Amino acid sequence: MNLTEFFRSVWNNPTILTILALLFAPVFGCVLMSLDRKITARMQGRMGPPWLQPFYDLCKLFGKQPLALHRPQIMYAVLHLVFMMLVVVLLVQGQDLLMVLFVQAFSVICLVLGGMSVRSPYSWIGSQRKILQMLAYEPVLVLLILAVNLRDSSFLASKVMENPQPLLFSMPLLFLAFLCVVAIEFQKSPFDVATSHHAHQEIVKGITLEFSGPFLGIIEIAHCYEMAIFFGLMMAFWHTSLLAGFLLAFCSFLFLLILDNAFSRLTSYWMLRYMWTVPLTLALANLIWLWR
Amino acid sequence: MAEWLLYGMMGIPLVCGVLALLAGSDRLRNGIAAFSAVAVALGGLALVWLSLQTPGPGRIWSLTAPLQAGWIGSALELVIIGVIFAVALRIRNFWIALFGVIQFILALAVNFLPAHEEETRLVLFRIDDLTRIMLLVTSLVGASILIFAIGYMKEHAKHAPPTAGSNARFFFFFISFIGFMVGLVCSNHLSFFSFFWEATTFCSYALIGQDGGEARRVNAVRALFINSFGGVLLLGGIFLLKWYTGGESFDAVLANKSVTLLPAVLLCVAAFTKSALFPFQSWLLGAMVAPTPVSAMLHAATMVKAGVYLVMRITPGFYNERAMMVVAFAGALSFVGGALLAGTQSNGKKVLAYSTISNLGLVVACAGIDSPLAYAAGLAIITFHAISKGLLFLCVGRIEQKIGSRDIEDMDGLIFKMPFTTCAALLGMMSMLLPPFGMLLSKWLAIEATIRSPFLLVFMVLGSALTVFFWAKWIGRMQNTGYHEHMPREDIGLPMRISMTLLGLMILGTGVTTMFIFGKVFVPMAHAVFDDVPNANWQALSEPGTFSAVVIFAAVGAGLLIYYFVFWRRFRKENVRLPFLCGENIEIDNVDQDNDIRSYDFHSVCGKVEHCVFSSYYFHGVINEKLVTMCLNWGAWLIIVVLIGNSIAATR
Repeated sequence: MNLTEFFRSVWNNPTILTILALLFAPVFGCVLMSLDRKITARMQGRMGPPWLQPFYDLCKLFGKQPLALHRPQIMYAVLHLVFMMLVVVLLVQGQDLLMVLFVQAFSVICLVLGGMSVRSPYSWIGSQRKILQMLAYEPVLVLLILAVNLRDSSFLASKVMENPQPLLFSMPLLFLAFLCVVAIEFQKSPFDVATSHHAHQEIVKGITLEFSGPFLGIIEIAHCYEMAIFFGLMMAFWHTSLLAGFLLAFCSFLFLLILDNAFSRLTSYWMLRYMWTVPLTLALANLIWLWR
Repeated sequence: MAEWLLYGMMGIPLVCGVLALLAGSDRLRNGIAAFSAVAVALGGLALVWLSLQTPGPGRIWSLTAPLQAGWIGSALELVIIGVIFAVALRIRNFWIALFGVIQFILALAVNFLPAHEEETRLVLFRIDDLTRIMLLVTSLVGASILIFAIGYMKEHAKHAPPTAGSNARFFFFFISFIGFMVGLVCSNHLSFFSFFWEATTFCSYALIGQDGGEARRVNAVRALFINSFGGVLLLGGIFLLKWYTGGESFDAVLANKSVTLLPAVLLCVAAFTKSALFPFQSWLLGAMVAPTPVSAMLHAATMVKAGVYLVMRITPGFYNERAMMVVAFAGALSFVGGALLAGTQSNGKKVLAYSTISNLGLVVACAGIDSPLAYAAGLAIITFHAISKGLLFLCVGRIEQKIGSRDIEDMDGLIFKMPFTTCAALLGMMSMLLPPFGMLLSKWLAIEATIRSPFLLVFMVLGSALTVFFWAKWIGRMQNTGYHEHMPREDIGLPMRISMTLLGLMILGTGVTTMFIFGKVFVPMAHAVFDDVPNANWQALSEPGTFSAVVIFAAVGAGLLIYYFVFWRRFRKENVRLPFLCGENIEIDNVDQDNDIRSYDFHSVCGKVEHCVFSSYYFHGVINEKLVTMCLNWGAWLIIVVLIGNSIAATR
């Protein structure tokens, strides 16, 4: 058996593929994070951390004392991670996209409840803002999935992959709307209201404030999964060619980084207003255009 | 056998109600209530089981009677209209009296219209799949609420206002309410249906006004006013139906689709009033002044479910696609409007009321979408919503009795103060929005079914996002607490504990088996309705069937196991830290037992203690409830006018 055949057999075996995806998604997410840090640093005229910094950070977090405010908080962190992993599993298995979205929402809700379960004002504010973020991006995501259904007459992720034409050609406006959603999920300005990577604009770290040590590590891993998932979804807009898809997603990622550095974060009401007007209208326009 | 059981199911609650009214002691009355709860639950199960033994497609069990039996229904109808008219005279309300007169004339006139000559026997009662679902909901959820009421009313009597009616009066109306509802869902002949319809209206009027006083009186009268208006529409629909077809039963609506659009639309609008859809929502919001079991009964088991039941019953009779779409819009508007307004409220009961309106809107939207998938999803929502909402109301009622407030912000840290109730409430809320519980799955299917209608889609999508918003805020508030080594035991009476446990078990049971129930019960029902519809979208129905909720359960289970073995067992008290407050925390041994100190207090200058309180987002200053309600009402009236106008134009 030569190498190509080997790869093909792995590619066609859903179980192995799922395990591989579960193993490599967080690694890929970490790579994205370090890229993010490096490029941002260069834009700001700094050297930036070493390439492996996110891995070092994670290792350090897991070596720390397991401090927490109470037990349920830990449970929510674990559920957050487990459901983010379930999203990967469902996507790789080619399951119903709307269900994938609901599972992702469940995962985010777990994080929110973890932040709200402790008696900390900063964490409370961060959680409230996270709910507002969900309120802001959920409609756009649902519309995106419905548009996919209009094109391929199916909600199954596996069916979408069978269409010979890239999604981007039939839904360019939806891709723009989706970029805003990705910016929220990647915690990029101007949408990073719940928790921000930039210390100067954050009130003590927001939603993840009260998580520390290994529990923060769990949430970081979940965030790695999330980044990998949404990067993968951006790639899926050009699913016919792996290279083109990667380029598309990578360029969008760079664009988001520029956006992140060009803007400061804005208020949560602004975000809600913006998301429910511009991206929602874009998504709707595209949806009507796809109408048959 | 089954017919006697049916008479029993309608009669026993009424008899028990009268006995409860006459009973001298509280103990005896509670015994009667408990007996009727058990009887209703067992009777409902037995009736469903017996009717399932009927041979033939759909396993439809019917009770036929000679033509003269129709007169009994008409007579009962006239009596109940007379009773409501007398009430209107007593409270000196011109409009209700006017509605009463119109109803009386219509009900009388129906009997003088010529009937079909060829018919010799009438189908008075009929039990098919839809009725069986409603029977189960009414009897099981209703019985649980009844058991709860025993414990609740004992407490309630201690701090009820002096104007309050006696517990005897309460249990009379409360128990007979269930009997009327059973009659309503089993009726096929419309004179019986309209009798039970008016009877539930009257019961809800009496129960809302239970505690007396100005506010209750106003709200009870409003409920009676709006539902009497609905009664006029109902009787108008029945009159037109008899006029056009000569029949006076649901069969007549469904059999002659080409002529019955206008009557069916009138019945549909009557259903909107009962289900408190926009613009008729105000009576349901006002109804929360009643003791909580009443709210639970109205929202979960009886009153509002009668409306959506009627919609589910007659929408297959709409041959006109445009009328269906308008109905779907009416539902979708309530879905979004209810969810939006629920997000702006901090009053727990009001949030629940708006969420009921929102979910009922979703059911009506599903009925209007006119696809098998949506129809099945609508049925699923009726069922799962009843159980969850019943439990939630009971929990809020109990919390209100305990902490003296129904404000969500006052429910801070309840998980420590009353763990049992709070856990039940959390279960109820999570079942409203999280996978793999039935509500989320039904919403999922509803959205998938909407795909053919773009504008409706926007409503569905926004409503669904808003739903998550208001539930998540509430769940977070209730479980916000400090560290406790052990949870205390909650002091809760046996009846309350039993009923909450029952409903909680029902939620878990239906949650685990959601997809199974959906495939085995609701999909065949959709088949039965849509099999003779030419181009129904069957493909959409088959696709979600491949999904199995087991994956999600496995994930939850795996997460909890990891949590327990890896973290929970290793977690030590020494690892507990106080939240971050810039190092100025106030250390108290037991924050939760001191009501004056709310969570986030900190030291400021010179060691002075500062109190601070954090509220959730309620869109204060952004969304004005009155203004939004006005806009929604306006839109909803417009939709109703379009609905009726369209059907008049189509009939011509």
